[in-house]
Amino acid sequence: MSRLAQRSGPPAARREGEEDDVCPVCKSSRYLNPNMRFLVNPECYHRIKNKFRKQTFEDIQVEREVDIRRRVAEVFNRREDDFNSLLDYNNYLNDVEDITYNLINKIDLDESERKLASYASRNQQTISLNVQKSLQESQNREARQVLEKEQARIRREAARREEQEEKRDREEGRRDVINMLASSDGDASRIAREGQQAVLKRSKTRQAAIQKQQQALSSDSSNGAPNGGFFIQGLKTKVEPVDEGPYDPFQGFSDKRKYFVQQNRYAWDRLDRLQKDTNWTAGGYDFREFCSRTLCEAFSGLGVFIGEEVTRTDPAFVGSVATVAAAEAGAGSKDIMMEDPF
Amino acid sequence: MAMSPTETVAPSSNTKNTVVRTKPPKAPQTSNSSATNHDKPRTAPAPQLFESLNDEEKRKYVKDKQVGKGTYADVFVGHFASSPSTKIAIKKIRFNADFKDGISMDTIREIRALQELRHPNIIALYSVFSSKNQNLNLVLEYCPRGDLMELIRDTDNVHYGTADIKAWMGMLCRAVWFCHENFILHRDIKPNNLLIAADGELKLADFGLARSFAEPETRMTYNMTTRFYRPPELFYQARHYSGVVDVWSVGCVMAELVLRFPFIQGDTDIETANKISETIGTPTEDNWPGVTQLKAYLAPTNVVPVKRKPFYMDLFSSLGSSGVDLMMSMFALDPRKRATSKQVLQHEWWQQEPRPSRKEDLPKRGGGVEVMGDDLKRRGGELPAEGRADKVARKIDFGAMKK
Amino acid sequence: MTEDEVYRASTQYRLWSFTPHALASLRAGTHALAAEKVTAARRSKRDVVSRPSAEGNGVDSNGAEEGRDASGGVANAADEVECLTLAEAQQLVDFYCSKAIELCNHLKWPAAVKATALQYLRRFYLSASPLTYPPSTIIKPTIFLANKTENHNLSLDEYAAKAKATRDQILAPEFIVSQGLRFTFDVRHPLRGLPGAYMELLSLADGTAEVLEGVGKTAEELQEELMALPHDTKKANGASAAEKAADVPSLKRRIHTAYIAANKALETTALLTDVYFLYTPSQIMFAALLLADTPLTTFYLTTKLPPASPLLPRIRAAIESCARILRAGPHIVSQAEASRLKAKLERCRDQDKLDLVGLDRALKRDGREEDVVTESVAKRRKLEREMSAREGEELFGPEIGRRA
Repeated sequence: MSRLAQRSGPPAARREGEEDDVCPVCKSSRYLNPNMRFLVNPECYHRIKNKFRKQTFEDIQVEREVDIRRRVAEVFNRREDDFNSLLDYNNYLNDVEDITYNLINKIDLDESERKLASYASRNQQTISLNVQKSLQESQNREARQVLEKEQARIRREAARREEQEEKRDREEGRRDVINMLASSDGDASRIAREGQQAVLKRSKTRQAAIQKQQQALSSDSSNGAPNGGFFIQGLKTKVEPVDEGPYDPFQGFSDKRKYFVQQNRYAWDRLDRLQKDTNWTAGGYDFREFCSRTLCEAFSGLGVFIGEEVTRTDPAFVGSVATVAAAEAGAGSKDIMMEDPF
Repeated sequence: MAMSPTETVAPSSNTKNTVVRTKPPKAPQTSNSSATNHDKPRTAPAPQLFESLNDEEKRKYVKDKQVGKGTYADVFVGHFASSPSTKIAIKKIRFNADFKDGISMDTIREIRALQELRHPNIIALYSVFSSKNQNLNLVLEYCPRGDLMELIRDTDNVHYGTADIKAWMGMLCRAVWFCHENFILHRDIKPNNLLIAADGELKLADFGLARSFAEPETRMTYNMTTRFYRPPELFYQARHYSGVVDVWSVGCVMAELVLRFPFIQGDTDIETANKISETIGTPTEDNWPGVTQLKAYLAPTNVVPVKRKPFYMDLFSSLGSSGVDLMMSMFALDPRKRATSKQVLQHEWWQQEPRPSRKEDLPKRGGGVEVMGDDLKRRGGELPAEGRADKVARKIDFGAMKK
Repeated sequence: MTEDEVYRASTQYRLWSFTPHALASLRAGTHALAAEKVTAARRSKRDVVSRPSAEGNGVDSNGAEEGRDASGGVANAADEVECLTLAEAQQLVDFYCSKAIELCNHLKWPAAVKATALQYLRRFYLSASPLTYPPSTIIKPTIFLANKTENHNLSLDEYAAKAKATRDQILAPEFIVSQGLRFTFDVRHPLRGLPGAYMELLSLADGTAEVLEGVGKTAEELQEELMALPHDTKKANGASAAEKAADVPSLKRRIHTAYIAANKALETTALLTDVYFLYTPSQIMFAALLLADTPLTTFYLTTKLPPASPLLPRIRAAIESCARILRAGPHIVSQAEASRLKAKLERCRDQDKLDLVGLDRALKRDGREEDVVTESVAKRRKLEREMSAREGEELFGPEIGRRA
């Protein structure tokens, strides 16, 4: 019930009809139906009508990038409280960002995809745990909405940032070229080429830096690194919740009594006689059960002081204990504590 | 709410200082408010305190849609008025014009038991209030994932292993133990009274046959428990019995979890009692002193010796040696030798491999809400019909009504 | 769970426990509500009666409004009947409670049925008033309900015959009583624990008791202490304080005597007072034992807790306070007084609820119609339809070519 309903991300990124629909690019045309809302085929991002998702972003590139970011975020979903410090967390985010960048810009695509898949498979438990955690936390609808909005905003920001950087790069490159063209009478084509190379160099530098970083990191995390070759610094050492100790069939409940110790035999003749009488016992009547009950009743509430505990002074007593909290406690993962919290 | 049909809220008259002419008053018995002809605003005759309390209680819950319908009760899914996302089930017990003795015994039993029992493995009763025409509404915990019987019988789609069986058994045994701790006998334990909540937790439901432990002299009814799950002492009409009647039923459920069909079946009481004799062993004075004194004891035509471990290991090997030991202790013919619910929980089987599955990992099935509706609307002691989806057919088919 | 935790989980603790102040204000509120309704009804009736042929304005020659006076100046003196006061209403309830005990004793119902019925009555009248529901109409249905909830299975006809009432008189208010009880049917009785105390005391006398940890004494030591106890000087059993129990059998006899006396108190006095609301079942049981044999009970209590436990004095205080109420006993209402109150009630009853049987029938009739159409009804209706269709045909003659 709960999980399915809460799996929504930002509307644009929700994938519907993810299956193997063939993209009828160029088969249908928007010219025929200009009024139709443009829908986007998640496979190849061509604009097509009556397809899967509504196009939210003007730039098709952004659409794609948002998708990639979502995919990465689903795998690399470690949370701040997994880290020892904010700095470590931010470094982690940074590293994730680099992988994302590569994927978006199709740099070392295979390598990046491999990293992603490897991390995903090795960290299944952590990932799903974190998914569960975040789901549980966002049960409050308002909080969830805020969270979603925030994630969308972050993604949009990131996408925008990327775009701007790229644009800046291009601009710079162009400016350089223009400057060079303006300030010299060299060969235009050569200058253009040089300009292009400058841009390329910039991106290559970035690439190299990233690669170097990754090499450095991956050399640290040799032999079957738990994070699939992706070194994460500053992770809190987590105590595995699975190690809960031996199974308690009573789950914390106990039948220990406070005011008496039940004896095997009492100095009560009548009881003795009855206990031996098969008229009663053949059917299974259990005198221990009887004794247990009467003894418990004898002391039920001995240490309970109504005058002090019951603060109710008006007649509006409720029909039964439960409140919403009890209902949620019963349905959720918490155990109901023995002591009535109300 | 059970308000008198003649009790009406007095219309508030106009506040001006002119008197409005009204009709002559009716006979005093029927109404006290139609005699208004006043300028001074009259306060409505306040309901008795318990009526307004009932009203207040009723307003806390909202019915969404009906999911079960029966001659005994209708079941609705709803939510708390104060928290729409927190769901509940509402069992509306019809005022039964045919029940000549007032509120029916099973309604009383169920309400009485559930009001006092609060445990993670026992269905929670949040409230009871009355709606018009003396209909009783029980506000119960919402269990959308069907019941255990569904899971057991759906051999095509549902697959489970020993760890899962252990988990379910743990939940069931705890529920039974808790009832006994509170001196209540359930007397109708079977897989379709074990509902499954949204988080996978098993909930013991249907306390329509429950009662509190009795004094030694008190004679109890023997015609309890659905036949397949009934212990031998009840077939022999013992009037004085104890909590181990529930333990026998638990053993039957354990066996059924493995076999995926009821371990001991029969079309009549006698047939089923004989089945016990054949399958487990024949009760005799040797293995059960005093049994021949029980009222409905019938000397058997052939005496089958009590089966030993190899017989059970053949059928239930997946439980392991220790699991089989536990099960056998629940099938002791002599109730005095049978394990108590506490002893069951103290068995070593729980500490052995495999560890019981976590409830999140337990197998599930869809279509649960309708199943919950079906389960809650039944009366105690009824065997479920063969095909659950066969609701329409069941209604028309009078002839095939099983007993 | 400890015994205290068990009790805290009960509906008796959660819904039916009050401080003396809360109890009083609850009753006062209930009474006020009912009295107001009765007075309002009375006023309207009086006002109508006081202007038999009013036309038009209805304002009298003085320009004053008729029958408006708070004191009802224009009203007929005969209509000015007093309502039962709160105290009187309570007395009536108390009277009928004792009647209920008599009835149960007479019919030899099990003790649990009697005790539960009594508590149902006392609980019912916390949020319902005798003005609206006179006890005379309520006690028999209540006892019937108690029979059911205590598993003392009796058919309605059997019960009606024994209780000398008609089926309807018993059935009609049953649902109302259940509502008044907030559908909480379980009552925890001090009586149920008495055999437990008894068997422990016997074992203490025997020297075979299993002593709780922390009490710091052995079973033999406790036995000696018990033997050395002085007799209860308040008891007129001829024993002087100096006399000690000679041996174990006489000690056991002493215990037995206390048990019998406590049993009696729990079966009557406890049921007729408010102790169930103010104390827990264990405290009430101990209070009854305390009254029966003070030294014995005081000693017994010391075997339940470590001597330095801070709970001990608090428990002792609660038990003693409860014992005071038990000792004072219920307020006895004489038959004469009861008759007077009954007559007064008749004159000021809530007219709406006069005929509970009729109301109940009406409710059930409506209820039945609202129920889902059963197969038999559906069949009948279908048949009727078919018949009327056929009749229709015959009216106009059968179709050509078709037999009627």
